[in-house]
Parts: sequence; C-alpha cells; structure tokens
Amino acid sequence: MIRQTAAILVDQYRELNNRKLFWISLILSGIVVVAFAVIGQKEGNLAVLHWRTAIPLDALGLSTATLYKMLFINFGINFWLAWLTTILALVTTAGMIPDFVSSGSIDLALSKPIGRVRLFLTKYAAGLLFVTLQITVFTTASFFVLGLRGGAWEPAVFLAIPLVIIFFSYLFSVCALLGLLTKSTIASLLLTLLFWFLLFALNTTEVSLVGFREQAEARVQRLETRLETVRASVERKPENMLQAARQAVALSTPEERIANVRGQLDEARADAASLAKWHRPFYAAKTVLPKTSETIDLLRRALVELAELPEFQDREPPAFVGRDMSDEQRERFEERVAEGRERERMMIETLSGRSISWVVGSSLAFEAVVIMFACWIFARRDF
Amino acid sequence: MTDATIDIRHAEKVYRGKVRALRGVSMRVGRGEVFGLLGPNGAGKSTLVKIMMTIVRPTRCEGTMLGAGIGDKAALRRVGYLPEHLRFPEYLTGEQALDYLGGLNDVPRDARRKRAEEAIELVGMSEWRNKKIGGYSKGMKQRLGVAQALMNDPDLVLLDEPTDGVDPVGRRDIRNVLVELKNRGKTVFLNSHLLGEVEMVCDRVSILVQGKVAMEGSLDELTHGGRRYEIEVERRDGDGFDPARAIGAAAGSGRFERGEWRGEAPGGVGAVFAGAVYKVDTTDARAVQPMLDALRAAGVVVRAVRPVRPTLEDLFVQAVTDPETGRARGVGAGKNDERAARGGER
Repeated sequence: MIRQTAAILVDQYRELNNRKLFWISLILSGIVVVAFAVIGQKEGNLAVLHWRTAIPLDALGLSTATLYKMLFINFGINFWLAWLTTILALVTTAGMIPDFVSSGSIDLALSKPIGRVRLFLTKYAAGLLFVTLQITVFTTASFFVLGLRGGAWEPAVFLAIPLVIIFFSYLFSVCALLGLLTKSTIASLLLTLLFWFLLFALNTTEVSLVGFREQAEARVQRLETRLETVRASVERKPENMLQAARQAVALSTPEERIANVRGQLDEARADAASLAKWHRPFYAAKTVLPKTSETIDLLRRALVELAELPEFQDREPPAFVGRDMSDEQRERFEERVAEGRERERMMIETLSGRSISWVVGSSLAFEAVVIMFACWIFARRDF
Repeated sequence: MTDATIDIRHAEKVYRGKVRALRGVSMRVGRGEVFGLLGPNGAGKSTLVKIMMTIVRPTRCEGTMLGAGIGDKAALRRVGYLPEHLRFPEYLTGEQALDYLGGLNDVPRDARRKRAEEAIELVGMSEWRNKKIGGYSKGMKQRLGVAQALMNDPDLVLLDEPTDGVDPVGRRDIRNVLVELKNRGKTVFLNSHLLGEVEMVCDRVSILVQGKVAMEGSLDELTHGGRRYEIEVERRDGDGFDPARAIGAAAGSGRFERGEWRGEAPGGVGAVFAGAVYKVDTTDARAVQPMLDALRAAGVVVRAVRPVRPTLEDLFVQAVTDPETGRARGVGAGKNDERAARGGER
C-alpha cells in the first residue's frame, strides 16, 4: 500500500519536474522572497537594503517586525501565494485528472491491485504536491527573512503551509470533480476559476455587509445613548441662570429634540434590521461554501495582534491631508474617516471572532462532499 | 483441460444506451495455455478483457480468475495487462515508467529494478531504457507495454492487441516473448484480430461474435471437420488439357454448379473440382489413391498432392457468416454498432 502511494507521489513529482510552469513559479517565489528581504525600515522611513528612502513609514505606526509580518501576509501570502501561485498551480494541475482518466492511461492504473477510491484519493493528494512544494520553499525562506531582517523569529509563519494547502485544496477538489466529469482540461480550469471568482464575490459582499451592519448597529447604540442623555437633560432642572437662558432660547423644544433623536433611532434600527436581513443569506451561502479569503486570513490572526494593525491605531492624519479645506469641511472629512475606520475595525473584529471550525471546518466539509461525489463517480464509471 | 486460470461464466454487459456488448459469455482458459480471443470489431472482446481487469463493471459475471472471483483486486497482483491503445506518461523514461507501474503493482523496489532490466532486455529495448517515452515510436511503446505487463512476474498475462502498430520484426519479437512466457509456464490470454499471429502461437481460441461465443476449442479440434486432401493438376493453355476429360476420369458421379464440379470421386469420397485443384473430402491418404490412379490413367499430370486443414481465417469467416444469408453478421453487439455508441471498440 505504501509502495503504491509512493509510486504515485514520485510520478507526480516527475510530472511537475517536467513542467516549466513549476520551475517558473519557484523562481518567481525566490524573486519575491529576495524583494521581501531587500525592503526594510530605517529611522522611520522605508529602506532598500541599507539605503534609507524618503518615504515615511512612521505614519503607518508599524514596528519593523510588524511591517515584515504584514508584508509577508499581505504581499507574500495574500497576493503572491493565494492569487498568482494558485492560478499557476491550477493551470499546471487542471489537466491531471482529465489526463489520468483518458483512454489507454486509466486502463493501466485501474488494472493494478489498488482500489478505485484509494487510487483517486491518492492521485488527488498528489495533485496538492505543486502547492505544497511551492509554499514550503517560500515559507522557509520567508521565515529567515523575517528573523534576519525583521528581527521576528516567528515559528507561526509555518502555519502558512497547511493554510495555503487547505486553501488550494478547496479549489482543487472542484477542479478534480470537473476534470472527471468533463474530461477536459480547459473546461475544468475555466469553471474552477469561475467558481473561485464567485467565492470571491460572495466573500466581498458578505464582508461589506458585515461592516455596514456593524456600523448601523453601533449607530443604533449611539442614538440610544443619545436619547437617554436628551431625556435626562430634559428632566433635569436648570442649575443656574445660564442653563435656563439656553433652554429658553433653544430653537427646539425638549419634546421636539426627543422626537428628533427617536426618529433617527427608528431609522437606524430599520437600517440595521434591513442590513441584517440582507446579510443572512450571504452568510448562509458562505457557511456551506469554501471560505478561501478567511482561511488565508487565519494566518494574519495567528501572526498579528489586532492592536498592531493600522486600522486599530488612532493617529492624526498627516498634515498635508485637508490642508485646503475649510474647518467645516475638514470636520466632516475627519468624521467620515473616523466612521470608515470604525467600520473597518468592527468588520475585522467580527471576522476575527469567527471560529476556526466555522472557517476551516465547514470549508473542509464542502471539500469532503465534493471529493466523495467524485470518488463515487470514479468508482462506478466504466472506462 | 488443465486447471482453469480463467473460468468465466455468464458474462453480460449492457452499456448505457442499452448496448449489449456481451450476452452470456462463458470461457475457460487452462493454466499454462496461450489462449486467443478473436472476433470482429465490436464483438465484445475488449469488454470481456476489461471486465477481467476491473476497468468495466459487468452487468453479470460469475466465475474465477486465478482462483479469486472476477473483479477481485488482490488477484490482479498476479496479472500482467497490456491495454489496447496504451498511453504512457511521456515525461518518463522507459525505465521510470516500468518502475512506476511496478510500484502500482506493489512490487518491492529491488525486485522492480531487477525485473525492469529483464523485461526491457526481453522486448529488445535496452538501448532506449533511459530515453523519454515522448521520443518513442508506436512500436517501441508497444514493446514497452509488453515489458510493463511482466513487471510483477505475473501468472497470467492479458494482452490486448499487442502487435498493434508494430513492424514485422517487432511482431516476431513479441511472438517470441509469448512463446517464452508459455515456456515459463505462464498463462497468456491474447486478444487480437491478426488471425495469422494467433494461429502461430495459440493453443486454444475462442471466436466472439455479437457478444456470444461462436466457436471455442483447440486449433486441432476446430479444424478437424474441415481437413481434406487437395490434388493439384497441371493445366496449361495449349497443353491439350481437357477439364471434361479430367473430371470424367476422376468422377464417379457429379454435377456442375457455379463453375465448380461437385461429386463422388473414385474410392467413394466426395470431391470438388475448381480451377486446377481437386478438394477431396478425406483425411485418409489411402482413400485418395484410386482417384490419383484414375487421373494418371486419363493422362492428367498431377503436380501436387497435399493434406490441408482449414485456416483460422476460414474458421473466422465461417463463424461470422450468417448461415441463412451467407453474409457476414452485422458488426457490434446489441445495437449493431457498439463502436458508434461507445466511441470505440469495447
């Protein structure tokens, strides 16, 4: 049994070794790591190798270690491995199952003393070898760059290996099933990319709705507090002449002010309820489908504390921002920026609060169902 | 018959679309035999082989192969198989392909190395062992296919069209491999439409027509009924040859029909005369003598006297010919064209 599994894995390695894309991808990974090592921080500014540039990094409020970790996560993992390398991996491996089940090739494999289900599962696992090799090399190199250049020796970086493999496996399971059904490399590749795009669109919509819903709920809370404050101020008797004079000259009566806040509160509650209603089906759909972005985001959760993120740091905007605005415009602008930041924080907090079993467990459950279906077809088909 | 290596009973296969590829095929192949499976395109030959190799799931099939039930995966450890239209991974060298396929057969690494060497040598591919398969000709791939079927030192070797695309020298080499396997006591199941080839190496044959066994037996058994003597006489223009005289000398009684004379020859045996050959319906040399005497007495020059038996081609044509219409039966099994329905022969 081990010999048969080893034979399939060795054959898969030989196939990858023969593909130019595998080596191109590995070389590009090397270039990304080198670029990663070249960039640094020196005296608050961006530095390339030893040379300090004029680009300030102070405004981001990141330590060197956090900067490297964020570079590793945002550029190395999110952009390079979870996008470009994944596309290259799909292009490379999309033909694996259609080639495997093609006439003349499948006959040999099926005539061996190995069960069909085990044969398919082993072949499927071998298909993950591309990404496994790429991510292992990339992460190991990045670990040393983080330690040597960023001063952060973070073993948690190696979490990237299982996370990226799991992330890729969601897509590869669909690609394998489509390859089995269509027997066409192009069809399975294009349909998998389409599926990935739909997951991306679903995730973007759901995450945005989370942000808006959280913001609306926060507004409801603020207005409830404000209503209490207004009520309290109305019930309170003026303590001195000045307060009495202010109440006397106020443009609105206390009842009007309460009604005004209550109106805003009702509106905010309706908005929050509406957003929650819209969010629910997207969340349900996401629950049963693979969560590609959130799986990759688990690495950020493991490596970076929320407080270290730029969104969680209250900083004054740079002096050049809003220089030409009037006080009123500047106030409104700052209010919007604060609102946006608040929305971002709430969104990140909500997403960070989602359990690993929901993010990975339900995604793996989807993958298991897809693979079981593929195994069932493979086991029953006449070739 | 010796112990059965293959004992199939009531094999049936109905593909989707209601194409009936096999209709209750039963077959026994003895240990150490070279067995030939023949049949026209679409007769169900490859379907039968694929059922044995678990590539196609039968609608019904009873019996055993190497003592285990048909479809038993563990039994395949002792079976070598060369599929029709074999496709190797082209990024591998010949040696790597044998190593990979030996591994799938669960052969230990050391044994794989040793057997790969032997098998490559046996099929005459030693010089190409380290070259990528992408650069092989069709015949070379076929030789390598035969080699991979031997990687697990099988007790039973099933070869589906092993000489497909192979040049005459290669065919002879593959035939020699089959003889060598037989000498080593292996059972060989050969699926081929090259009748001459099958005739040269097979002990027993089975002819499948429209999903049923039309004939089965050893070549001796199958050809026994058609054995005869042929007497060839000299017939040259301007030589004074007179067919009527020749026939008159040979014939006891008879009649002409469609350019042939049929009747009873001296000695009381049936004979047919066409062209310049008498076909005498006997296997006894003594029964031919009265006719030879009569021909010589009539001045007819006898050029040759030979015992003949029907060729496999004769049997094949007989098996696929509808006795009522005298025409070949339609190709395929159920719907008359299995190939069209399944995109190729099964």
